[in-house]
This record gives sequence, structure tokens and C-alpha cells, in this order.
Amino acid sequence: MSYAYRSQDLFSLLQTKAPVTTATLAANFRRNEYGLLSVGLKIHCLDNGEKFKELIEGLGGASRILDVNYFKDARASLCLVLPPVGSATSAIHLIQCIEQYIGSPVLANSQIQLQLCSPGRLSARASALLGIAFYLGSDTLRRYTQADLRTTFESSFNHPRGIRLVLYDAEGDFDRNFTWWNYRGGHEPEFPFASGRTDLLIGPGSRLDIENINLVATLLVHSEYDGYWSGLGQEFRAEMEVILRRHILAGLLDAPWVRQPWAQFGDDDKFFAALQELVAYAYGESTRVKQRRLLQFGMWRNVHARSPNGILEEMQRLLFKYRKAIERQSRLVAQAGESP
Amino acid sequence: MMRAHQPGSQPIDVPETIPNPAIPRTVPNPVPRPSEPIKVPAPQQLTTHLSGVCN
Repeated sequence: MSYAYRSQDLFSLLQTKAPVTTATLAANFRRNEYGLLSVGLKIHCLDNGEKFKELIEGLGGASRILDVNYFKDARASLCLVLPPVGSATSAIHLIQCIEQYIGSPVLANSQIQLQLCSPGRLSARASALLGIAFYLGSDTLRRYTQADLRTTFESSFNHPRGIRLVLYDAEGDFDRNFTWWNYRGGHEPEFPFASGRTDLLIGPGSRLDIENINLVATLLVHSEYDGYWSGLGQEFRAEMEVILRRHILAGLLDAPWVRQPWAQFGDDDKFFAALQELVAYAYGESTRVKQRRLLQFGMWRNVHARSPNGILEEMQRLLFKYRKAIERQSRLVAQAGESP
Repeated sequence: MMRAHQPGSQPIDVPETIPNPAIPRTVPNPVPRPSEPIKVPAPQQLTTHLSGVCN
């Protein structure tokens, strides 16, 4: 993930308009939380990008900051790559600082597509779980067209990424110097892999999206790279597959959610059909919840879903359960004095 | 908004995005309204006032 400026230069710039949030961010931006993974962000700007002009000029200008990256959303005027930070909290702070600097929202903005980058390349099946967990766990259910998922690397000669929600990196720069909790709970100063990321094109994202993806990516990456959360990650995978089987959606996991080197002709369409099936199921679930509310109360009430079987609620419960488990267990690790 | 229609059924509008019903909506705190500006009386012309007293 190439960004041709120093984090400190970005913070100095942001501090001029967001002094308090930037000071908090600068003090903690590489700090790890609960043994979760670091977070990278790319901002794809679908309008003319005028709001980012001052920020980009301050960092060294478009030719130095933007043109070094060929990768972006196919519709975007610019793609700003942000330095990776140690936690989802710092990623949200970074976005808040940028929002204050440019005077415009970045989260939940239809003109801004966020790409969330997690270190470590996941297997095809884990990538499918990541994409599905993000979609069902988000606070917004989205419809997609293939145009939403096209990037300039769709048909790249060296690094074709296809038309997917989940993308692998293009073997660029990789910052591995973030804390990694090994299988015994020891804190390693760097990741066990020298490169590789699994990214999600989340579209107009939210704080919850960032937190959820960081949680799920951690569970999945630890389960595949023998990290401290490997056991929890395996349990999470098993529970999620049970949920999908119960809703007759297990077949979605066989779709090519991420483009592999051995991809076949037509895989883009196979993936998109699976995504559409997921979207249709989630929209249908939303309608069923509303109808249940009407039946239950005789009139519309603005209360949240309480269905014992709805997949959307099941996903929320699953994420909540594993978030709490990680928080609880990480406190025990700290108390046991295994911190460096 | 996408309009889905099959022959023999009512067409329905499918929005681009909808809120996830499993996540309770949090009502944001109302933004405090800026307080009314304090009205400061215009400064009196001291000479005029004094001259009025004298008269």
C-alpha cells in the first residue's frame, strides 16, 4: 500500500484544523487493541475531489501523492491512500480528523467509497466469510451493481483483481511492524507474514463497518496464521457456516468472492450472482421484520428486530459474542503479565 | 431506486440502501441551538447626557 508521505506530515497538517482529535491520534496511532489487526484505509472519491485538494497539496501535490498509485475505483477521480494504523479506533479517529480538515463527511457519504485493508491474505473460503459477515453485519444493507465493484485493476496484466467485493493486494509496500499476538499470547513486534492483504470495498462505510471488519478479519487471519485468536477464529468460522446452512445460504461460500490466480472465465458473474442472492435474502429479511412488527403491534413502531431466527439478528449476536470474548480474554492476557 | 416488476404483480421500488433492522437506531442528541446574542445597550453620548442633567 503506497503512500508517498510520512504519517507525521499528515498529522501536522490535520492538526491545523482538528487539533484535539489529531493529538489523540498521533499519540496512539500504532497502538494495538485487544490483539486485533492493524487497519489500512483507501478513500476513493467519486466526485471531482475538490474537497481533498488542500489536503493533497499540503502532502506534496497530486503528482506525488496520487499518481504513484494506479489502483482506484474505476469511477473515482482520486484514491487517497492513508497510512495504516494500529486499531479500528485509530482508523475512525483518522477519518474524523480528515472530515474536520476537509469540512465534509467521509463516512456514510455516497460520493466516497471506502476500502478497508487488513493485513494477511485470506483463503478463498475465509474471504467469502469476511465479505458475507461485513454485509450482514453492516448498519446499512446495500444493493450493488457490478459498476460499484470495478477497479482499475479489474483486468490488470500482472495483478488482475476482477469485479469483487474482496480484493487481494497488488504486492506493493507492506508495513508489517504492528504488534501480533502469537499462539501463546506473546506480543511479537511484527506480523508473521512479510506481505499480503485482504481488502474490502465497503462503499459508503460507517464506524460499525470498520469495527466489524477489523474483528472478523482478525478472527479469520489468526485462524489461518496460527495467531492467538486462532481457536476463537475456528469457532467463529464454524458458527457462521452453521448460520448460513440454516438459511440455505451455505452455497454462497463456494462462489469466488476473491479473485484467485487460477480464476476461470465467468467467475466475476458467479461471484456477483452469489452477492445478489445474499442481498436479496437480506432485503427479504428486512421486509419480514417489518411485517412481523406490523403483526405484533398492529401499527408501525420504531423498535429493532427481535426475531429469534432472522439472519441479520443472528449475525449481530455472533459479532457481539466474539467481540466480548476477545475483550474479556485480552484482559486476562494483560493480567497474566504476558505483555512485553 | 430500482423498480422491480413481474407480469401479474404490483411493481415494487427497491431502494439502493436500507437500514439494517437488526441494529437499533440511536437517536442523535439534539444539537443545542445557539443562544440568543446578548443585547448590549448602545453607548450613550456622555456629553449629551450630562448636558441634559445640567439643563
